[in-house]
Amino acid sequence: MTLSRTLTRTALACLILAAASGCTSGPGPLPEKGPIVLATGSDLSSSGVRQDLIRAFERRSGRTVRIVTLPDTADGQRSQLLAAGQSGNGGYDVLNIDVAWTAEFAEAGVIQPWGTSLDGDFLDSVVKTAEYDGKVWGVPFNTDAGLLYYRKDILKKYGHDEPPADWEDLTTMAEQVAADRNRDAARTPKGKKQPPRMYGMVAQLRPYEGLTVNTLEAAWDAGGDPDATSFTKGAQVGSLQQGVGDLKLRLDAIMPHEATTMDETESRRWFADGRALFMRNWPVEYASVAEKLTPGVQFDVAQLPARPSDGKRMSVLGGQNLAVSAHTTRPEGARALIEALTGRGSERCLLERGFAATRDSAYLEGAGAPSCPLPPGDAQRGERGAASPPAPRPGQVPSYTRTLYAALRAAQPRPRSAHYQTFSKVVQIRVSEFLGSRGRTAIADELAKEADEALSGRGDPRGR
Amino acid sequence: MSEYDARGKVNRALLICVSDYRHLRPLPAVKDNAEELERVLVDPATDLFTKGEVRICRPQEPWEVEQALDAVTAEARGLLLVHFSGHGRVGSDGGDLQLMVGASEARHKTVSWQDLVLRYLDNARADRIVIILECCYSGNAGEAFHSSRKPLSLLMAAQPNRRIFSGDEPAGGSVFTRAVVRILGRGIPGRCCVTFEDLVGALRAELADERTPMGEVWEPRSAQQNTTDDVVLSFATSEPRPRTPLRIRLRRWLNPFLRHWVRLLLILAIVFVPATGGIVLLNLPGEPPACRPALELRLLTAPEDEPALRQAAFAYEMSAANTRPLAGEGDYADGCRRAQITVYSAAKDQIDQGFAAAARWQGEAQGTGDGDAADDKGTDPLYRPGPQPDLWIPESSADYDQARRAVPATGSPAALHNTGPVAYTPLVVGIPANKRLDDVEQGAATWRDLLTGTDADHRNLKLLRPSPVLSGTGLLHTIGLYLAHDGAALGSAGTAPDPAVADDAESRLSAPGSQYAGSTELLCSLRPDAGAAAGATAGSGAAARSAPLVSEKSLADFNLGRATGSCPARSGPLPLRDRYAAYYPKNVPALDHPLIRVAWRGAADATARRAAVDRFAQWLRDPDGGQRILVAQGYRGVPGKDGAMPQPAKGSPLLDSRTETDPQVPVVPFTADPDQVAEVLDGYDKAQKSSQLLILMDTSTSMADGGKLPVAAAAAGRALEMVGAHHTYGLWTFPDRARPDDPDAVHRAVRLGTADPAPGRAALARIAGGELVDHGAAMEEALTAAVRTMKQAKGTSNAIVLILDQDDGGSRRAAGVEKALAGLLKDGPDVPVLTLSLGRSGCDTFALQWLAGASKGRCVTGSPGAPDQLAGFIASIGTAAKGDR
Repeated sequence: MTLSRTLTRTALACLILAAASGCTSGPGPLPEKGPIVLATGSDLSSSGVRQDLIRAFERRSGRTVRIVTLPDTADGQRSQLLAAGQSGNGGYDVLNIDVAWTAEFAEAGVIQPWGTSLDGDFLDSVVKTAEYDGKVWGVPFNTDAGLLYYRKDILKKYGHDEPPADWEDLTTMAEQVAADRNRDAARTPKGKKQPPRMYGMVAQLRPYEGLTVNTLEAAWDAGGDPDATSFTKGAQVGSLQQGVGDLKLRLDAIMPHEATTMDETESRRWFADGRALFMRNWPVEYASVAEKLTPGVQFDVAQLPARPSDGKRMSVLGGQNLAVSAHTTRPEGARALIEALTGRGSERCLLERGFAATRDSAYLEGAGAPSCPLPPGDAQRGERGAASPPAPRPGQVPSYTRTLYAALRAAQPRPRSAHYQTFSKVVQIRVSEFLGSRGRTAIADELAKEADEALSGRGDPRGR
Repeated sequence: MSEYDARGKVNRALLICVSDYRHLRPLPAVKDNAEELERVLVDPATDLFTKGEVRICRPQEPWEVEQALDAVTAEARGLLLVHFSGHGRVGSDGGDLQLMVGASEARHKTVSWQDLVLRYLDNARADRIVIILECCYSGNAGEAFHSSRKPLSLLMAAQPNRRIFSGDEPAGGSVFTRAVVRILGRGIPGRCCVTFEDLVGALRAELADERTPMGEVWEPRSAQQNTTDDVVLSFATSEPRPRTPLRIRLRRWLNPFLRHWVRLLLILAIVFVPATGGIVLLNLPGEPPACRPALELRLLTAPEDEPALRQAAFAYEMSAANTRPLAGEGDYADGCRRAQITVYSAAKDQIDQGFAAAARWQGEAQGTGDGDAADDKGTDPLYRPGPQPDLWIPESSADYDQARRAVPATGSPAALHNTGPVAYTPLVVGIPANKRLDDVEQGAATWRDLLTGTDADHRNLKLLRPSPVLSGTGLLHTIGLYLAHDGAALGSAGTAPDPAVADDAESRLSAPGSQYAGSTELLCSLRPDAGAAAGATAGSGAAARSAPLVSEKSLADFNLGRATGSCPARSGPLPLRDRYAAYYPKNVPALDHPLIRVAWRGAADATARRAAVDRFAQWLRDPDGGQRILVAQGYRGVPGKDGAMPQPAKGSPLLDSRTETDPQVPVVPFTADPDQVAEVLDGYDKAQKSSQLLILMDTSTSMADGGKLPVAAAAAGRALEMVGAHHTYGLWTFPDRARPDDPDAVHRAVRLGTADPAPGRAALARIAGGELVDHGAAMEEALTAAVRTMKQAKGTSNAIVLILDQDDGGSRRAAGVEKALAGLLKDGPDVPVLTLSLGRSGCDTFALQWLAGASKGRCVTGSPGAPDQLAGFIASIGTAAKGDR
């Protein structure tokens, strides 16, 4: 027998086999074995509404869900999921991922496309965080938008009934009211407890993701385009320079020096302790502030100040998406779980229990509003990452919901790039140097160039 | 003097004219300056600039100036002329000239001459640059003119520190600009052209009758940098002018096409190459290929070293070492980053437990674990320490030896490879700078002399040490104390520590409050601005009576006022009275920061991962790479090719005398063998007095609100990680579920005296799962019961860990409860109460502050970092086991 004949026969046999196996798949795939493995940060594995939704899914579907607790920092979670995915080791079915990671995880082959488009009920701004390269890569689970917290009582006392319209307004108001307030406080009679010194504002300026968020919001306010893919082209450099300049101006004029070491928790502590008039923060901190200050009376929330050119109030979008792992062995279970956790009823539960829901319908009021299918008994336990509302009755939403809804609709995702993480590191390092410097050297050019290099995945050509 | 002739080259003129100001006086005359200048510059009579080469900018915002400068500096190849007319301001010392744009305020939104304009011009591609500044204080621009490396000529409308009266003139531009336009447009009699020097001379003559606001002659000034040549600014002349040479006319005609040369050539190549049959790879200009995500490396280290390594890792990511294409590696497009590194840290005991449970670590990472949140030992390595590391850089080789001992002999999926040190820092004892030990040599005293020199009969200094269980610095200091007590070098053959020496040393170190979670937290508590909570204040009180056992690097950071642990950076070094002088105990090995490569079994990309780690390690040890960054952070470098230990070089903060260190003291390499490390830890454990920890936890339903329960459970779980045979515990909860009608009752969930953490973990799991009691929690009643028990308990270093939401018992409290509790706390042995308060007021209540003071305990408020803070407090009262249970 010649070699060619052997090859022909082998090929023929292969073809027949392939055809046969193709035809005999009759009864469908075998049922998936084992629990659906959901990898997530610690805030989901503790008690709370998201946990309750998972348990409800288990009861309804008869399947079990195993929750793997990932590292307790967002950086650690990303690093582990990405590296394990690259090593071909992630045996998870569903990943609960930060909205900023979609592009990188998609490019690195850690997650797989969702396969269908998202239904129109999801908020448009939020849907953008799940899209990359023309495909949908996950389903929005819970979202977040920055809000302006303000001391309603003190502003009123010094003649301001409304929160400031734009940042310039805010700076002026903060300077004036804080000065008046501190002057009056200095007259506190001896023996009475002196209130702490009041600063104009606090925000998250420690070199971590929070600083990137605050920098982006400042650049957008200065005319920056959230959809721009380069910071060196067109007016983007100018907006970036203006934005970081404004940020430094606010730091020097109305914030305490310690703001450069603050994260969400620390800034909230200052605000709740009565040491700041304004605070930029997420709705998650509402409940903690409400433990010390009376909501609606002593403090309230508003959308971030408007951009003078067009009145837009753009915040960075936060939150998490649920994605199917590229290495899943239980794709059907994964899909069913994600659909259950992001359904209309589930999203309503999330909103009622202090999260920002990703669906339009969740924010409906009155007869058309979906109802949360969880029994009220489960509602008693709060969860980290949720602004556990000051106990609204079942079926009711927290008091800040309208403001939050408006903020979410105007919010924008961070640059959607497979190299976002490095971009964020560049911003953190350079902006933090700038904020700590005494001069006012323009950094935008350098920063914009490095930011573009970071986003391109390349290095610094001058680097050694 | 030769004269530069830019005709025919690609020239640019940028005319920045600001007439309308939001916050400053308007300058209506400046409005016409731009048109007048443009008219004369493109006038065929001046014959230098062509149409389209002159840009006008009327900026409102500083960035508009930047954008314009960016464009012209990139485009001009021949002459670049930049003109500014508008307001100018200087600082109170006359420096830092600021050009004011439309939106400028006094100190905001201005354009810095030195930092912005000169920086752009420095990067210009033009052969020659001429600048004309027409504003108040323009003469001050000459002072900051030295930084440029380009041939540059500067014309300043006024002399230094002088303002000018101008700007309100009727139509036709300002006085100065009108003069410039006149001279450039008409030429100078008898000259063939107007050069820069001609212009300066003619202007002085024209303005001779004008006065500055101070009354002197208005005298324009000029300056030149990096050139002695003159430059022609106009070819206008009153004489008959020769025709422009053909060569120049040709070039002017060709200029618009020139920048398309490359494209033209390519088109020609595309057209002709296929015809000749040759194969030519064309690199068409355009976007380079996209880069795929780089290989993610996970770098685990100690909290002390995290900031420096983070900085080094980022520098590596962007470096040529990480982006230069490598032979035989076709996976990454040209110039793409190959690796990216995430740096994170954890306490030493948690890292040891992680490697000991490597199978579980990997199991959880692969989603194949058995489903419990933690194994029978309670470790959940994927949660803490965190990601499975590809590299681990512990503080010293002793940490590595200790971790190795805990790894099972066979079957572990993690293989550790020690590749050797990447940076050193000697161990030191910090002595208050104004209490230097006169009779003890700073650079080479033995530990014995140091202990004598600081004891009660001499200086009465309290030695403070990071816990050897939680911190690598603490472990190596303990090895030094036990094995190099008399100043003799550590033999690698291994001498076991003398129990008497260990007892002696521990008697000075094991007092409550003398151990910390890490060296940076220890030093942070000694900072003068650390606040009353830390109990130490500037130059007096506890800080002045303390002698911290830390590393040279962390002490240098402290003295220089750099960020230390959770203390933010100060504006400058500490005053001398608050600094500590570094004493170097003789022959104590330095922290050597070995780089350990960790290989995980079953990784599909193991080869690539190993190569990536090796490349980073090589860069980290390169004197031109990572070493520069580490040395600048205060570490000592590793030996270079010659094998010699390098002295702290340029850029090292150790050369600053205010660090109070001695860079001449040599580095002692680590030579102890693994058995010695184990023996020292055994010795430490034996020298520790036995202790008991009672965890008293509020389990009322209010704990479930606002995410308090996970923080409470994590803190109690962290406390359980520190128990062992010598350090037993009990877990009580209140109110008692079994006796719902008695709110004062305490539920004894785990018996006091228990060594095995498992029942404690099980109880915590039940609580976390919702086993709460719907009752107000009466803290003082429960605490009274706990204190009463602990005062009589065995063990010498006993403590209570109190975890509560808020005290709900106040309204119904019997009169005598508080008094009884106060009395109890006063009597008998100290039982510090370490409180984690999750309530709305945090530690800021009278009752909790009183409790911390009366019991010599501490209070910490709820936050994600609270469990580790609490662990540090537990270690500080000497109740931490060495970990290898």
